[in-house]
Amino acid sequence: MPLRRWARSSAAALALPVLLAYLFFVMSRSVDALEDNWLSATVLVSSAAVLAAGPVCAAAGAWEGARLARGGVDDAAAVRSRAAILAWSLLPVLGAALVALLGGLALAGVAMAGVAGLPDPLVLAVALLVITAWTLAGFAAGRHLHPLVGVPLLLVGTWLWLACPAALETFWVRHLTGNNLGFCCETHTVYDRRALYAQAVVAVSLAGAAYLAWSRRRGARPAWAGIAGLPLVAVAVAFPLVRDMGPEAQVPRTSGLACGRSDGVEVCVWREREKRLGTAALIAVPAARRLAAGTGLPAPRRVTEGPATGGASWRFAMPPGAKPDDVLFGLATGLLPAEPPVCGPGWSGADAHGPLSAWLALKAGAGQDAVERRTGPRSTGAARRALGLPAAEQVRWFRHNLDALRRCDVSPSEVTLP
Amino acid sequence: MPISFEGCAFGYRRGTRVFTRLDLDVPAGRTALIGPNGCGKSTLLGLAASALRPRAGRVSYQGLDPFRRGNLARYRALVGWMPQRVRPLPGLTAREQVGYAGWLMGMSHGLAWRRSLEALEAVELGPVADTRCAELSGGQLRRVGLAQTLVHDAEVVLLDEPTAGLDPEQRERFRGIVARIGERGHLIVSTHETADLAETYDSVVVLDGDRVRYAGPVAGLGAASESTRKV
Repeated sequence: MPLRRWARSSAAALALPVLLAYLFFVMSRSVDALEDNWLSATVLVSSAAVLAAGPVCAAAGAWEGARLARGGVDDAAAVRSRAAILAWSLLPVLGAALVALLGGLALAGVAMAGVAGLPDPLVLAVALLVITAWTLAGFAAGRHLHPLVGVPLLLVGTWLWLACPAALETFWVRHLTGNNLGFCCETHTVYDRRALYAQAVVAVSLAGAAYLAWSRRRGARPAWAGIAGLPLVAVAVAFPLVRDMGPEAQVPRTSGLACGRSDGVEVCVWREREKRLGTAALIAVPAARRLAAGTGLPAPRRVTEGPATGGASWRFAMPPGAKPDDVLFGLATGLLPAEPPVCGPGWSGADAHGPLSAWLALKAGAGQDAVERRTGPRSTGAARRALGLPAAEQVRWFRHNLDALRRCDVSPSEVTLP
Repeated sequence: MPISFEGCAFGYRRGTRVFTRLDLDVPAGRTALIGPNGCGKSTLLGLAASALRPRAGRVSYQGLDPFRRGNLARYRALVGWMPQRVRPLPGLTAREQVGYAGWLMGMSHGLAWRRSLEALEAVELGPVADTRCAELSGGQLRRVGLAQTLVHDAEVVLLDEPTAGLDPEQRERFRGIVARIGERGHLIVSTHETADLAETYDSVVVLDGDRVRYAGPVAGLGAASESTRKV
C-alpha cells in the first residue's frame, strides 16, 4: 500500500498538528534567548522536540499498537518479520517526529540567521533515539491496552518521566530521561557527553524491552528476562556515567577559539564571534594593560574568552550585544576568585567582592555609571575612595582584599581617606 | 501434493488438549472440514496456516515444514488463511486492508496495492474498494477477508467457517466464489453445512474429538454413516 495511504489512516495524521503546536509553544518561550552558538540552539530544539514528541509519539504508538492488535495482525501468519511490521506501522509516527524536529530547527535557524556553525548531529540523534524508544514503548503497551486507556496513559506518563525529573534534587535521575540538556549550553560551555551516552543507553534498552514485549507471539512464554533485564542493565551502565554530575549536563568549553595578536598580546574569542576579534582586541588589550599597571600584576600575554590557565592568561567575555563597559567589567572581575573559600560561619570576606569589582572595573576604564549600576552605590563609593589613595596604597588595598576573598582568616579592609 | 499432518499434537495454554496425535493427508482440490463444535477444525486450519505451532509432530506442504529453520516465510507465502473472525485494521478501506494483507504476505507495497483491486474484484467487491471496512456489511467483510487470502496468489487457501452467520443470498454468493477459488489449488473450508457437500467439494474430512473419523472423497462419506450421523 502506498505510504501516503498508510499515513492517512495512521495516528500520525492526528499527532503531527498536535506535535507541531506543542513544539512551537515550548520553543517560543526560549527562542528569543538564543545567542550566538548553534549548540544552545540545537539543545533548545532537541529538548523541546523530546518534550513534545516523546509523549505524543508514545500515545500515537499506543494507538498504532492497539490498532494492529484489534486488526488481528498479532495472530496473522504473516511472511513479514515482526520488526518489519513494527517499522511500517511506526514509520508515519516517527516521520511526524522528524518533521517536528526539522520544523524546530528551521525556527531556530531563523533566530540564528547569520551565525556560523551547524546543529550538533549527536544531540539530534539522541533526541530521535529517545523519541523512537518512547514510541516503541507506546506501541508495545498498546498491544495490551485499550486505546482509551493506553493513549492517555502513555501521553501523561511519558510527559511526567521527561518533565518531572528536572525538578528533583537527585540530579542523576534527570540525566537519564533524555530531556536534560535543557539548559545547556552558553557559548563558553559544552554538554557533558556522559549525559548523552546515559540517555542513549536508557533509550536503547527501553526500545529493546518494548520490542521484546511486542514481538513475542501471543500465548508464547514471555521473554520476561529480557523485558525486565534490559532496563536493569541500562541503569547499571548509565548510572555510573551520571552519578557524579551536577544539576546541569554541561562542562567548560575548551576548543573553538579564534585568535589574533594585538600589541604583543594574543586575543582569543569564540569562533562564532570571530568577526568581532578586532573590536575585542581594541577594548581588552589596553584595559588589560591598565589593570596590570593598577594592580601590580604582570601584564597578561593572552586575553581570552576560553579557559585561562595561569597568570599569563586573563579571561573576558564578549557576548552578542555586549557594550565596551560590559567587556571591561568582565575582564576586571575575571581577576577575582570564581568560588569563595570553604569557611565556617562568620566569614566576612564576601564584603570585599563589591568594592573590589568596582575598583577593578574603574581601573580597567569602565564608566562610573555602568559600574555603579552593576555593583551598587556603596561599593562604587568605596572604590572611588580607594582610587583616591596613592598608587602603592591602592595595590596594598587590592591585595589585602583579594586575600580576604581567598582566605577565611583575613577580613576586608575599609577605606579611609586621609 | 497433499498437506500432511504427521503425529501432530496441540493444546492451548489453558490446558485444553485439542489433538494428541493427528495423522492426516489433505489432497489437492476442494476439501470440506466438518465436525461438531470444539472438535478442532479451527485449530487444524491454524496449524495448516502455521499460525499455531504443533507441540509434537509436524505439518508440511511440498515437503516444507514451516517450523524448520528458514522455512517459515517460504511456507507462509504459499498459504492464505482466513480466520473465523475477519478483523480489519481500524481506519482502512477495503482496498487498503487487502493491500496491507498482501504486504504482510511478502509482496512489495506496489505489487500488493495493484493486486488488491484484482483480489477485491474476484470476490465481487470492486465497487466498494474505497469504502472503509467499518462501513461494510458482515458478508462484505467476509469477502474482504477472502480477498486477503487471495491477494498473494496462495496455493493453499484455508477458510474457517466462511459462511457462518450469513444470510442465504450472501451464502450462495460466497459459495460460488469459493467454488471458483477451489479450481486453483488447495482449498480447505471448515463448515457446518453438509447439505451441498457433493456439489461444492471434492473431498471431506470429518473430525470428531481428537480423531479423524473420515477422510476421503465426498462420495465415500455415505459409507461412514455413523460419522455422518454424529456430524
